[in-house]
Amino acid sequence: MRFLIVGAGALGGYYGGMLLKGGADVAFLVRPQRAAQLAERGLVVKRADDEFRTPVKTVTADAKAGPYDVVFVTCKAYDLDTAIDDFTPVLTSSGAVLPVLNGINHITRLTDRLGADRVLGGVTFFSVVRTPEGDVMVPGHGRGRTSFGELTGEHSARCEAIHAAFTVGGVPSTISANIVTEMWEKFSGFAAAAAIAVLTRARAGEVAAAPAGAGFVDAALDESAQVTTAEGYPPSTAITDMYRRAFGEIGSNAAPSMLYDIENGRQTEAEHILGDLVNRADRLGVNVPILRAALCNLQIYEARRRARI
Amino acid sequence: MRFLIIGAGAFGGYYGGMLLKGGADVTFLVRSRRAAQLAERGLVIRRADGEFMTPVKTVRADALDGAYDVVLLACKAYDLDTAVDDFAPALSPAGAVLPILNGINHIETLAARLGRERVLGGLGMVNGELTPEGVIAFRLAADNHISFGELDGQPSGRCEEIRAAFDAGGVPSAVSERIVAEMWGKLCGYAVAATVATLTRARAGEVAAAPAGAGFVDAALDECARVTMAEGYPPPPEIEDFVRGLYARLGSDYRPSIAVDVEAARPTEAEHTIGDLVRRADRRGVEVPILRAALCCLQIHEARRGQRS
Repeated sequence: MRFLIVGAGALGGYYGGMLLKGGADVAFLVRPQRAAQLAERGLVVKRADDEFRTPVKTVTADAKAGPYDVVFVTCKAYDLDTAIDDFTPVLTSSGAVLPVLNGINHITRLTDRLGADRVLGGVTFFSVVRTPEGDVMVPGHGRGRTSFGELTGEHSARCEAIHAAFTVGGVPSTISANIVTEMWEKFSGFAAAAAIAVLTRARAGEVAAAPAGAGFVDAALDESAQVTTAEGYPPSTAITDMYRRAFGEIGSNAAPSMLYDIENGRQTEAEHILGDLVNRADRLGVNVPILRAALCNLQIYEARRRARI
Repeated sequence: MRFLIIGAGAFGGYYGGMLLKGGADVTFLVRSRRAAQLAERGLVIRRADGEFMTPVKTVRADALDGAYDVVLLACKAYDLDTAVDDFAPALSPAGAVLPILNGINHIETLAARLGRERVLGGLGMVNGELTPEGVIAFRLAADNHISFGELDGQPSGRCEEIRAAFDAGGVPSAVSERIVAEMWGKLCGYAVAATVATLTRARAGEVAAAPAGAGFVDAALDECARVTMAEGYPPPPEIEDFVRGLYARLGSDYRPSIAVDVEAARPTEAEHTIGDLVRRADRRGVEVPILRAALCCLQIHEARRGQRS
């Protein structure tokens, strides 16, 4: 089974590195700049108690090898169309795409282009960061579940094979019979968390300490839950509670990845996450004042970014 | 009629200076630093149509001797309790306090402390700011007016006298029969602008340019209007049109004073204005997700200020 990792950011680097560690056949589809960095330093995955360093195979869009059985998509949503153009020619006819993006809209974008039978669903609660040198750093104990599965929920040999490769490499993963539901649940919580962080530009602990914080967090979670419920996917109490607890810890430095993007002046997945949810809310007649405020905030942020470039 | 002006910033300085210009007996109650500045340079008001400079009488809180007939209260809301402590002994038994603070809650505070019959309602409109050098500077010559009136809307001799004093100084003024409703209307407009600016950290033109901007402003307006309506004061259409207009002009660099305070890391009147509306909404069962989000942001701002100092 040959893996192609699209995007060698923190998450792609981590998964690819662990798969390699387990002995899988892995190549990274990256931009020339990142290819040069990887050629020079190799791929480095740093964990609390160990460091794993390995040379990697990289391919760039204009010089792809292949074909590949599994394309692991970890790029940002705004790069998805280009990524699809790049990897489609090197995906085997029976191959599968496993995306671990936040949000839900990319599933339709992938199935429209590739056909539903070549697309898996995926969701991760794993949190990794990339250092300025391009190394992958796993904070804390590196816990965090990765789920994936067939969109139909059916059992499949290809999912078993991917699961086996993950297991050998030491990536905790489960094959889900409800991956679409899981994606919606994560979407619901992540969108609310993103809205809270974007509007306050604060870490979770500061929100927890504000007298109006808990009420605001509840209202944000409630809004996004109303939208996903109207779409047929009510989030479980477990997931809502997980996000509520995250914003209830005084002193916590936690933040959704979108806040890190803003703090570092990077492009955000504003339209893919909050824009998509607000569009759905408008179509369904659900009132989403907080999500819309956050979307407006991000549109202004993106407009300023474009003006600087 | 002896006037005591509490605060010699843009509002207190301008109105007090104009009253002086009209020949009124005016004293400023200020802190020692501002007293020294006023002793050295006099009160300076700089408008597009010229500069007005006058020596002024200042008094410190511990040297106040009565009796003043009118206290023009132009302090910040968070200084209200101290201000009342300071001026209450110097207010003549038949005297009146004319507050021109933002918000509405201070009326009850003043009535509880001084007796309702000694409290007027008031609204100021001053397009100027206090420069670091202590000059009250205006960009525009027009639109600096004041309206005030008895809380019960009845005509009164003291309001007529105050109006005559403003007239003599050239300040357009009006005695209002519905000053409380006007204060609520102003609070509604103020809260919308403060909320939008707090949650976007942007100038009005940037909000106008964001695709989600108009919908967000409408939602904020809708929330504020529902609270003030539940309190018995539906905002007049001209307030709604004014706020919508403010946030519909592309390229506008308008921002409300609270945004200036936040950027300068100064304390804000958040609890007195937005916090008051949120608490009223909670008591009346009105949902205010946007106002609560803004309150949360401003509480985080205050917490960060507290840590720095």
